This record gives sequence, C-alpha cells and structure tokens, in this order.
Amino acid sequence: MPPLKPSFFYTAYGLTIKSELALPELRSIQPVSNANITISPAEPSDAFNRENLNRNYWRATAHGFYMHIEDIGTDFHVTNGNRIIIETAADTSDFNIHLYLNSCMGVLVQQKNILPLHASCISKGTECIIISGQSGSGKSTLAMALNKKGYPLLSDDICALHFSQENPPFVYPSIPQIKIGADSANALKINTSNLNSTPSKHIVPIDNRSAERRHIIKAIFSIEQSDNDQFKIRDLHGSQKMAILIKNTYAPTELIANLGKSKIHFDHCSILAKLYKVKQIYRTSSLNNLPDLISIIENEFSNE
Amino acid sequence: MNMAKLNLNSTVTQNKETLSSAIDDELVLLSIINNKYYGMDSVGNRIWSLLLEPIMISDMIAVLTNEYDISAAECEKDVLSFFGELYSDNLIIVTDE
Repeated sequence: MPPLKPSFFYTAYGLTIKSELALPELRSIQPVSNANITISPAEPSDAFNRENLNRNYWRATAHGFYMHIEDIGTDFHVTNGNRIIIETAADTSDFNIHLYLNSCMGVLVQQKNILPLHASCISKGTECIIISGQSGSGKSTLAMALNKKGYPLLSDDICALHFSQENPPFVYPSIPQIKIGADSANALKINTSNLNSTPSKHIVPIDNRSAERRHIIKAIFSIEQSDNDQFKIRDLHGSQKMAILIKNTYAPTELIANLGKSKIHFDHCSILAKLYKVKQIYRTSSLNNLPDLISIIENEFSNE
Repeated sequence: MNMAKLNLNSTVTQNKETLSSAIDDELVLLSIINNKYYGMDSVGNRIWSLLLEPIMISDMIAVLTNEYDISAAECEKDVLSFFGELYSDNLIIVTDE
C-alpha cells in the first residue's frame, strides 16, 4: 500500500481547497471533508490527450482546460470547477508551479460561474472597492498603499465575484499577497530583502484576518497609465462600463468562449454595469499622485 | 459572412443568437457566433429595439426620420450602411415576411 500523502487545506475565492502540494501563500483552514477543489497529481485513471509540442500551449473546451508549460515541463488540467491536476517531473520546484496556479484558478472559477476580474480589491467593513486594471496599471501599488493605511486586502490579481438570484454580487478574499515592483516597494518603504520574487515583482504577504468574510461592492474603478502623463478621473457610462469590465476580466474573450461561458460572462458584466458606478482613473508615471489616488478611493467609501 | 446586399425592401430582424444588454441608454451586443462585442449609443439602442420583430428597411427609415432630426436621404444612406455591417456580422438576419 503506498504511503499516505499529506493533504493541505486552504480557502481562496470563497472556495475550500484540499491540496497535495503545499501552498503557503494561501490562507490555511482546518481540514474539511468535502473541499470544493482538489489539487493533486494525475491518477492512473486520468486519461489525457497530450499534444507533444515543445512550447507553451493551452486548450479549453466546455469539458475542461489543459495547459502545458514547456519551461518547467509541467501540464495542468482544470476540470469541472473542482479539480486541478498537475503532472510534472519530480524535481520541478514548487515555486514555479505556484506561478501558474493563478491561471488555473482563473479558469476554475469560471467553470463554477464565478467571475474573475483582473483587479485588486480592498475593503472597509462589509463593503469593498474593486480597482481593476491590466498588469502594470498601478492597481497593486494603490492597493498596497491602502492596505498600509489599514484597509484589508481582498485581492491583488484575481478578484472573484459570486453571483446569485437572491443576493447582490459578493466578493470573497483571494490570496493574501500583493505583487509590486521595486519602485513601488521603495516609495511605500517596504523591506523586500526576505521576500519571494518573480522576475519583475516582489511578493508581499499580507496579514488581514479581518477580511475573511464576503463583501458587497461599493464601487468599481479601472486604472491605467495616462497616455499624456496627465492625471484624470472620469465616470464611465453605458457601453464604456461594459467594455472596461470585459477588458479587465481575468481571461481573454477566446478562452471564455471556448469554456462555453460567453453568455454567463456577458450577463455578469451586465449586472455589474447596471448596479455600480464604474470610474476610469488615468494615473501619471510618477508616484507623486499616489496620495490623490488614495483619497479618491477613501472618499468613495464615504459616498452614498 | 453574408455577402448578399440589403435593399429598402429587405425585411430584417435581430438574430436571436445575439446577446444584448442595455446600460443607461446605451446598448452592448455580443455575437456568440463571431465572439465580437458592439457598443451602441441611444440611437443604436432604439434601432435594435425596432428590430425585435421583422421590419422592412423602408419602414424603419420612416420611423427614424419621424423620431430624429435627419433627412430621409441621409437616413437611408446611414441605415443601409449600418445594417450592412450588422448583417455581414450576423447580428441581424433577413426574413421572408
């Protein structure tokens, strides 16, 4: 009989996770008997079709998602909104695998009809403000600054929104960490000497026990770097709101369509556009405007 | 892609495979067929609602010329051009009625 493998239990995106891989960046929980998601190596009974291409590759259908990462010789399968299967050689570093688990989670939550926005999110009491944007937009720096001022962090990268007939959309906490670049870390006086890093970002763990519950949305912002280095903020209307929500979803349109989730994604974005203000922030390249950005978000919590 | 051309006697209506959502007074459409999004202002929104049931293009032009400050000639040109795009992208279909 093979030795029992240890299982690790976590929560993220409003879901419970049982994993054979240690994922210390996630929030740990007591063991549960029916975790929403299991993360494990392949079973002999898993029969996968593999394309033997010597490059990164993904394929998605309504039946599942598959991703091959050539650099680390690892295949990821995401099925039914409840399984992530990792096939890898024994010496692949855990850290490299972790970097790709975000993409897997982005797919998995869609399989469960949860909307993943590419967004940071901070909370005040039971409400939260979503700050969406592409990589490099400045959302993480702003979230880090707000977190340092005492606003609990709900998400930095993938913000998971749960929809239901009976309730307004809820945001659940994601992973308690923020990834920021060296300039932002300096400006915010964060000591990066003992932090894990990706090639371009430092990974700052966030301790925010108070953000463990679900939250209702107060407002949605989108942030991007200004073309002409002028600081500006404007309310979006009508189809512009939808366009931003679609653009800032944590998945390209092609992937959403391949997963068979086009209609539900469209409906979810429509609900958000109808219910909430969406404001576009154009930030300057310097961090001098950071206090202004912080005030804008803080004031939004006080608005009716 | 539909290569046939529309004319004033064509009867057109929404392709029911198109998703739509009205936000404020604007409209967003998603064609599941070609996976493209379309944003329309309040006039486009009005036109889309007129397309709910089959309507002959000449009747559409009559309604629009009545509701908006536009000449029949200009309206005809704009509508045929706009509908040509909607038709070639499969957002509207031609019916036989």
